[in-house]
Amino acid sequence: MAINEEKGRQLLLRSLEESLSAEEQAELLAALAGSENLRREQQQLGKMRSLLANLQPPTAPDFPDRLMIQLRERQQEARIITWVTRVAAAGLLIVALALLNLYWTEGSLDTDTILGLESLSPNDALTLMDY
Amino acid sequence: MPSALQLVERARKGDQSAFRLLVVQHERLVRATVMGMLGDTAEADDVCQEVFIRFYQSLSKFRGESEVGTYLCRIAINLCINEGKRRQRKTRWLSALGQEGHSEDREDPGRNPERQELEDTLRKALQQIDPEFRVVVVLRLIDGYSVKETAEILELPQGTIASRLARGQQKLREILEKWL
Repeated sequence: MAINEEKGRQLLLRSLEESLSAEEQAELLAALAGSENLRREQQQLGKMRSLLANLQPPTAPDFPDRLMIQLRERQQEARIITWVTRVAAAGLLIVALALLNLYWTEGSLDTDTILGLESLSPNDALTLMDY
Repeated sequence: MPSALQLVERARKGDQSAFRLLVVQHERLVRATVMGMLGDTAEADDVCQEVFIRFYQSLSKFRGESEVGTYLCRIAINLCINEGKRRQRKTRWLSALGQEGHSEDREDPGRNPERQELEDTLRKALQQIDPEFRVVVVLRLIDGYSVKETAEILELPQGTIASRLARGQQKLREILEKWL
């Protein structure tokens, strides 16, 4: 009997979503007729499915307006991020071009070249001291 | 009344009033999905907002191969799964610190108390079943998608959906037994 009930339970659950064959339908009916548990489960499942189908989410009348405000804020943030990224990229490009130009004219990118010390002589230091 | 696809087309061209209409049309579906997955919590409202923001950001990618509602449900489910993981991490941290880590359920004072109690019980029961069963129960039994549509949304075989639905319903019935 227990095996019949378990099989009946599976058929019951399947019957909620699909149509059973005539043979399976007869088996389910027999299982239901023979088991009070199964009849109670059938009733509970029906009630539960109906409650779930009618489960209404709480309404939020201001939701679309709040969302549109949030959306505009995000768009503004995205614009600022894009602008900052572009400025940073432009800055990096300028530095890269300046270094390339230096390398092209001086043939080196060591610290002295970058600081402009390579072309200074000791006399330049003395000249500076005269000032 | 313009169709959802016409509204998407207009929203894509920058018409925010068209997007607002899409929100009005689909808010209930998104809210039902998110609240089914997360319960009636403050985070649920944030996730609902995030669903529409993600949709807005991906308007250019939306080809209309699926319904707008289906597309939104997919986004909602993904965000709810992420939120669930975030909650788990938070709970772990809080329990490590010796504090409780649960989200506060909200009450709507304008609703029938008996109805609210029943709905709260249902939502709490949903939170007690595994997310893999819960998502199927939410899409099939709350949102009303068919098994085939649920399978498409979750990108799983129909057989898997059917068996998860059966197990999910069975678990939920056991939890709710004294209420039914």
